[in-house]
Amino acid sequence: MGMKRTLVLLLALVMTMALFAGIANSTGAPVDIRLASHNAVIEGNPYRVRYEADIQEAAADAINYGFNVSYASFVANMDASTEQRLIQNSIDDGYDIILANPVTATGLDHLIEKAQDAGILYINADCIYTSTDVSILNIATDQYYLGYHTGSYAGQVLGEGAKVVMIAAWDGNPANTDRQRGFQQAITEYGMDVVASGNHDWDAAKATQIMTEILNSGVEFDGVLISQCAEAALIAFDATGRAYPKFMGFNDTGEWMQRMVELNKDERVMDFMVLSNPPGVGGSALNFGLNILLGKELREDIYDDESISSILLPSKIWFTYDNMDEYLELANTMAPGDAITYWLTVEEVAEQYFK
Amino acid sequence: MSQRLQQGFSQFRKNPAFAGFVLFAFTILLNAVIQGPGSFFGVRRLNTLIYTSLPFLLVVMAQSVLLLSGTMDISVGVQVALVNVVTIMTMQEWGLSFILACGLGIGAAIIASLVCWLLVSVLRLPALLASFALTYAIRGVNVLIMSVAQGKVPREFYRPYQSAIFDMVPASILALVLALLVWAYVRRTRFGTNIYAVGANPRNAFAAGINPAKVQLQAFMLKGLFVGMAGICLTLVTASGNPTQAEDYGIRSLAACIIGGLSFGGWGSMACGVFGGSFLILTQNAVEFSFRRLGVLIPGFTASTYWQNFVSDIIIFLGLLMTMVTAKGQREALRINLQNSVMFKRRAAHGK
Amino acid sequence: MGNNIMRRWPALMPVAISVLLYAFTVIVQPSALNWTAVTSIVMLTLLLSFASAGQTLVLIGGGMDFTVGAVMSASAILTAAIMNSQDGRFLPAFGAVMVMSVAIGLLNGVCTVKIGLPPLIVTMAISNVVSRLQYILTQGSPLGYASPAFIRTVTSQLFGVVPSLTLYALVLFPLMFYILNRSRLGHQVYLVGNNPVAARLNGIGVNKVVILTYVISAVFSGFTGMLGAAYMQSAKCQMFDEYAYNSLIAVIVGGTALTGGVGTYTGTIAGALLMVVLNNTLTTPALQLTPPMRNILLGLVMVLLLILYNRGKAVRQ
Repeated sequence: MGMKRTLVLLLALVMTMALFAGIANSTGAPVDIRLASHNAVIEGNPYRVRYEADIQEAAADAINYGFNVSYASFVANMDASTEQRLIQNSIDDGYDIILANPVTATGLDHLIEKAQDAGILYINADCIYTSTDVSILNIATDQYYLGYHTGSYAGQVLGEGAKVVMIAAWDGNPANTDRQRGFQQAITEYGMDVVASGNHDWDAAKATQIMTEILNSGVEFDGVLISQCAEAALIAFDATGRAYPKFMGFNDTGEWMQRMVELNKDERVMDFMVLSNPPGVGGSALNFGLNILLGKELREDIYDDESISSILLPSKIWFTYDNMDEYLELANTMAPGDAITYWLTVEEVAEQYFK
Repeated sequence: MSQRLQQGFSQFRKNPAFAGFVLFAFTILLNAVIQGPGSFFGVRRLNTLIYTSLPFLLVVMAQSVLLLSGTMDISVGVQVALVNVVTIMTMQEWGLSFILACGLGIGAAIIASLVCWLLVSVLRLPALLASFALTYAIRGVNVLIMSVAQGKVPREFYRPYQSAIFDMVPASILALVLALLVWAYVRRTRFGTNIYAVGANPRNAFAAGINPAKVQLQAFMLKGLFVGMAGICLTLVTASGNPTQAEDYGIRSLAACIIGGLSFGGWGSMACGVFGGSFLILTQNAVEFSFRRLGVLIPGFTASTYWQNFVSDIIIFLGLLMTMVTAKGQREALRINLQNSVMFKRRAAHGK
Repeated sequence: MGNNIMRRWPALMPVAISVLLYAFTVIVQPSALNWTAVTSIVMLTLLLSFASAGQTLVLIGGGMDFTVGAVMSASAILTAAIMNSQDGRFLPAFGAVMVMSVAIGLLNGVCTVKIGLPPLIVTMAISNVVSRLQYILTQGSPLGYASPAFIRTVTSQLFGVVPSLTLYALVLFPLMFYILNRSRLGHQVYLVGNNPVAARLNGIGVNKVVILTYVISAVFSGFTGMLGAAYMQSAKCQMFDEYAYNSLIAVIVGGTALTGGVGTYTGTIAGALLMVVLNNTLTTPALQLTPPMRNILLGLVMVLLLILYNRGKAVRQ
């Protein structure tokens, strides 16, 4: 079953490559590539803002590998029919690569087929597309690891049987589902007890509101596990004048890093986790695509889930109170709303994932 | 000859749909100019535009029916999602055929409309707030029915919907035509005239022998049918289910109707709504396209989604300002007309 | 009899229901009776009351202001950007916010009066434009924090017990009461809301009155946005947008009619209290309500409140 999937994927990629066979030349003039980046939402979501900015940078960088990539951005504003229309238009407009961060994890099968029939390279980035009826590359950050790593560290510093609050992001979103699986595994392993929960839906005001409500309800807890937006939860403590918990984590924004560094500068006031969920995963996905256009072949052992051809990229940067000093400069030079980001260059991708 | 033309034009000016038509014509022109007539009216593009916009247009038609009868329902958006999740889940969990599942979906929309009718016509709660409260309830129900986006629609159903017949006519437009035919038929019945009277002034209508609650019940049923059709079209567009989609259709459909020239009760026509809805869709389309075009023409210009949304909303606001010019005077005139006709009916009913 | 009591003291019912709801919460989860919860409820109620003050005036005058949320968000962003974590910049921030609010209020008022379309639609379109402007001017990531001194005036506690936000209430509440009940404008607003034609025949400049109500509403929303920026310490685009709906509901539940001419500010404050307490109850962990269930219950409760407060007149009379 796994072999079949890989074979079908390879077939689709070969078809795409065949159409580019004439174009991709390794000597001299750069090849013109038109990239369409489809995003579910940008407004109000700093992660997605950075995601698009990174794809643009990676696209501009591609000139060093012989590709003149022109970048166009399409945003569906969380509306599934708008997304359909935008992707169908991109197919009709003859883009060479479609990089999609979709509104939902299903429902685009018919468009993906149309795109592949037209020889367009379709790659799904960031939020995994879970349909097993199509063969596309899914490039995402390892969300399970983010949850597990944070939860494990919390378990270590809080001890067995600790009470925790668990605030997740978007219910039903595949990235969220994987992260929560990671959290849950750590919670079970360290015997922690979830006394309250909620969803912040990537809305800072909502994160503060949920944390405030939990504080109001008077439940006792030792730590706060939260899927990013951690600084918004911290504000709830400030606003209500309550003492900070023993642990809060994770997030990767400038504001979070600055607050943690400031808070703990003289002594350990609150344990924390800074862990990067890089928006640059879109840039990495683009570079996977460029490698394919260069004619390289993917290795067989790189998939996390073969049925959906998903490749999970591990998080590269994290720190806690113990190794805070190494990252002081990073923390203090970043804009509050910005996040730690990086992506794999064309070379790094080729080294690690291609033959 | 030119006098005839002038007469015809001033007649047209008095038509309630005039304001909406002007906006509609303007955006068609704008799109044709920006994209080039060959490209805009090209079959594939037009087909895509139509089949993805149809759910919203049907919702606007549903909202128009309610506005004519003097109420509104801003929960139509979540109702469309309700139809979608009911259709997908009954197909998936109970193994029903797609057609049967669609029937159940339409049924769900009609039940939701009934509830809204109860709140608005029977309990006489303010329509805006009651339907806003209903939005919360239905939103919760949607997630209860389908917790995570999932589901598939068989290819033999969504393929035809998304294609063009004889490579020329978008198949999806049949749904719009069907809805318009239903409305045309209904308009000719007694209900069709009563709806205007009730919308304009329920008390006078009651005095004239019309039962407002009953007429509004029929209006809500019809609206439920249109919302059901919209939900099915949306299911065919996305070929899957999603409990959290289409929420903003509620407010947007209201805005579309008003921009098209409808008001809260008793005045206007279905064409107002259709033109208003088309105006919103075509505006968005034109802005998207011009930004993409600028991105191609001016190297290095990246189409910022912020500017796109901003320009879209400015155009809509300007469209609102324009109705000041085209619509205001007409409403006075027609309201007086309507009062006269109802009084005339009352005299006739009392055998005077 | 019940109806009469409600008309004389419109604030009574929402306060009574709030107390019942909170009692229920405490019974279900005893730990919910703590000072943090009470101060939290007080602060959120105060914020919502400030934002709904202008909305009360507009509704009594027969209109509706949907820009409350957008103005609050925009003002929060302005405040954070101008203050930029530095003390002593309150006056420039206040000035900028007031200029912006007055401009938006004038736009609201003039468009509503001149276009003749339902104020809901007009103010909604304007609020959309204001929201989009936020994104363009900040490129999606607003910079800056409110100044530490300002934050302290909003989030700290006097004598360790009373939220300092009440100091603002000591100024804003009397101001609103004066405008509504004692000033000539307030009197005129009631008349205009009740019967605009009669008011005009009585020599009241109806258009001017209506426009003023929108300006006052925007000014209150703008100032509340500043307080909101201090409460949240920084600002995000569209951060307070839901206050548009919440202020409407608070005002209606407080006894003001959608049709205008009737309403009080005490009612609005009570309505705000009810909405905050209701939210608090629905999110009690002990009840273990999943988000969909919370939504359904919220809808049901709102319908119930509407039935109690805002039924229209019967057609048969």
